[in-house]
Amino acid sequence: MISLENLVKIFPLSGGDKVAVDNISFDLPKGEFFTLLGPSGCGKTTTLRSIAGLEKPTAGTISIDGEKVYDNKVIVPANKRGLGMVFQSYAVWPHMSVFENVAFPLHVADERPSRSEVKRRVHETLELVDLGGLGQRPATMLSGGQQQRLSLARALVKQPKMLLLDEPLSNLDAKLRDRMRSELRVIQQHLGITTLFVTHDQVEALSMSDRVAVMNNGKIEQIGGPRDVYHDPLTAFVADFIGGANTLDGIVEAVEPDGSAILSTECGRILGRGLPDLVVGRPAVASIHLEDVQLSTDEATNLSQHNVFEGVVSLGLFNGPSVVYRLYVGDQLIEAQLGGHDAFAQGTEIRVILPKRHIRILQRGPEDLAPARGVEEK
Amino acid sequence: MTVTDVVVEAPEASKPKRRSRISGKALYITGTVALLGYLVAGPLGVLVFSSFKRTEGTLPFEAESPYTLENYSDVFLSSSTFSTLWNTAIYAAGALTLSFTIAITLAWLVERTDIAFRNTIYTMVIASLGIPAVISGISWGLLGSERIGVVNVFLRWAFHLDGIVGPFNVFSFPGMILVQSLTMVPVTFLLISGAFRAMEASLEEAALISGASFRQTLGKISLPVLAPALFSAVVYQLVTVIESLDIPLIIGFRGNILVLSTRVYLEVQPIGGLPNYGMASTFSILMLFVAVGPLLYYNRLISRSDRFSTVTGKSYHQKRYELGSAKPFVTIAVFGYLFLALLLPILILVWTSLLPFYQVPSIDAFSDLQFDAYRNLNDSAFFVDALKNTVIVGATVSLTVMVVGVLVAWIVVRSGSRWSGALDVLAYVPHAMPGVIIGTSILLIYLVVPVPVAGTVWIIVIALSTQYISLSTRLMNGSITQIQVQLEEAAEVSGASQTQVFRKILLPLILPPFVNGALLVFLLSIRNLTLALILASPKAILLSVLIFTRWDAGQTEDTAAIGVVLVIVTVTLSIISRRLSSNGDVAR
Repeated sequence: MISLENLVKIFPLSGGDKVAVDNISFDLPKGEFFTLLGPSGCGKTTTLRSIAGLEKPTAGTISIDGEKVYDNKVIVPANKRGLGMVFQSYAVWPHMSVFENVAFPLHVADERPSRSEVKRRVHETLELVDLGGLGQRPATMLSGGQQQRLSLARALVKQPKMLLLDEPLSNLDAKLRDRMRSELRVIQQHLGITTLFVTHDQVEALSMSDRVAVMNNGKIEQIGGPRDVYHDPLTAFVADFIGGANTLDGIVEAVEPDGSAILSTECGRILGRGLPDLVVGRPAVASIHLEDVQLSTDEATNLSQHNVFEGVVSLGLFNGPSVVYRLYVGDQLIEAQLGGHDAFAQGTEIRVILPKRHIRILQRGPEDLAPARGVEEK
Repeated sequence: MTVTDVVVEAPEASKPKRRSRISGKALYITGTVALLGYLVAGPLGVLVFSSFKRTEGTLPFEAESPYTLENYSDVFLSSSTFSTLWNTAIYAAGALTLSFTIAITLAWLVERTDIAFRNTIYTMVIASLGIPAVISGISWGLLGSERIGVVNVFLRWAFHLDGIVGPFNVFSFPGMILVQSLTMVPVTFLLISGAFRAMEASLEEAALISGASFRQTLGKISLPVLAPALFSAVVYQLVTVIESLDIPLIIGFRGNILVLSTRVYLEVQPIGGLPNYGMASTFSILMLFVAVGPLLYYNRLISRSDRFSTVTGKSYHQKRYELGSAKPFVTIAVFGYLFLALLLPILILVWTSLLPFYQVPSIDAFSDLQFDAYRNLNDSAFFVDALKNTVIVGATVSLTVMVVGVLVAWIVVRSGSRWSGALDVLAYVPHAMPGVIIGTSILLIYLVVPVPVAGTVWIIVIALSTQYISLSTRLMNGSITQIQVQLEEAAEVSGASQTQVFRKILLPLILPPFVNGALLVFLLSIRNLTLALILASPKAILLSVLIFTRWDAGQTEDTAAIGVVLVIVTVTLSIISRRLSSNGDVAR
């Protein structure tokens, strides 16, 4: 459906060039909901704008439906690419009514549909996004959530080859955002439209996407299904950015033939699932999600076992469905998320269990900007 | 606030002495309302009163001036009034069309395209803001005169035209419109460029993605979205063109073209004969109506402007339209315009000031260059006085007007007083009052009111203050609105009295816009010809008036030398003022 090959975008700046997109490639099959996830400045929006035709890449190839829209010879302008896009600011035209906003793409189409056809399709699309009956309102009389739906309707009305969503939910308040997440996904699946979604919110990315590409510094660090990137991160950056996992620094002590590895950390030795690129004697991190950490007050828990440590509860934050505990094993901070019914008092001495199957031992690359959690707390 | 309560004596002595407590805030609000009422409502009242008095050589307040409607019948039944109105209409329409075409093009190029030397262009446009209209008029008089104007000499040479006159005569209707337009471009540019800059680029991008072409995007999205800003600028500048006296007097009058402002001026300062204040007032009232209509419409536009506010997203770096292969040509065209509008008038002024008598610029004439005109200036008591007066007037007016502006703006924005609405309107009225009207009515007031300001520079100070009060109030309204009310509340909760809040929180925060506003008012005051001319007397001559009278007397070299001095001051001021207000980050 859409394919990017070796896309590069360099912004010339007075203080030296900034490489916004650094040689990235991916393919989207028809009907997929694909997400570019990353912190601000990672190049995700520039990638999306390059596909839209709003930004001229420095090098690479972009094709839509097998047709090249950008390479070193061809540049198809934005208005000829037949895409739909929702902007972060919604870009609702303030001088038009709701109906006029949605009808605009049809009015400027090469083959302009008849008046009654325009009317039918606009109303259909407005119904789809739950704005039926608001067509005659001035567009600026809509609430933020409604403007967002209007912007979606405008992007969909021409039945575009592909839908581009540039952080569409970031201007909504939390409750509305939760609702729009599922509604957006329902509409996308209903229409079966190929969708490229850009966000910095990992919850949005995980809950809505078929596949997620995690970006950092203009590069894609990992592409995979939401479960893959969450449970099996390939880099320390992905582990930290997506899961907000505990990351414990250490030195690789041994790599076993079955793929498991032993990391020597301040807490002690940690056994976990390794990656093939680990090298004995090199720095690495052990990452484990908060909800995978187990706690026990049972004195009988064997401390000589792998991955069992003695810790102290320093703080518990109850938020309803769960409690997040901050624990110290020596000077190392570890966070654990338990069900809302568990309760440990501050200062409780406790056994911290890090199950081997939930631990990833990851190489710490020099380019990983995000520091490991706990290190800075010392 | 009880802390600031002051105790005043009850005025009536007959009653037993009683202490009445009036809060400082109430006193301050009442005082400000009274001051503004005196400055603004006073002149209006005088104007209406005088328009019903028959005054041929007499003053409206004298007993021998009878009440009459004759002024109105004279004005409205005379065919010359209608030709004046017609002239004014054509003049306004022509100048607005031309100046907006130029300003919109410049604003779009500077704010939305990748044209080369953006900062230089921006600075040059702003610098031309500093050229007083009176100077523009004189420079173009020199450049465009039929026989010896540089432009005509050049055109005759370039196109091998026969004869010694033409082809272009600046002292004509088109000439007057052209020069007026050039003087209006900088302000128009300032009024609209902000809107071009602030417009969310995603609105246009969304249209492109929807499949619209560049022209469809421009016509259906960009211009309609900018329409409110453009309309309000048109109305603002319409008032400017109706009230302008400089160009109609310097260029139009010599070409026998009279507009409303020249008619009022000629009634007050006739060439031979005595002033007819009654007729002047009646003409003024006619003029006020012409100016107030658009202004009311403008206010309605402003009040609806929130309808056009939209959600704004993160500021993604604004993408500029790429001019591509047209870029060098467009850049050259813009610099060509700037040469014509800014450099050429200054060059001719400098040239003229360095010659004993005007000559068409040529290699031969270089040998005649000398500094006599400047030496004469230095010796001329007139010039030294005028310079001193100009500085005194500029400094006093800018300080007064800005202080009153802060006082009024605080009441309007923050006090919650029931006077705030009325005060806002009152402070706005002078904007609709053409300078000739303010000048005339203030002249009339101080013929009667026993304050000895008539014939001194202080009457000019009062008039200029009245004129610019609306500008300073607008400026300070905007600045105070931008300061979060919580900052003041936090100070109050910390135990500060309202006076302390005003002094220690509000004043430091509004100091930068205050200083910038003061500079702007200073600049406008010293380049103002209208008021200074109407209220001038031998003891109260300002530079702008001196320039005009020397020009009128045919002393071209002196005129040019004084003009050069004035332009150096005003252009420097206008550049400093823009640097302060934008820190130069405007067109990066």
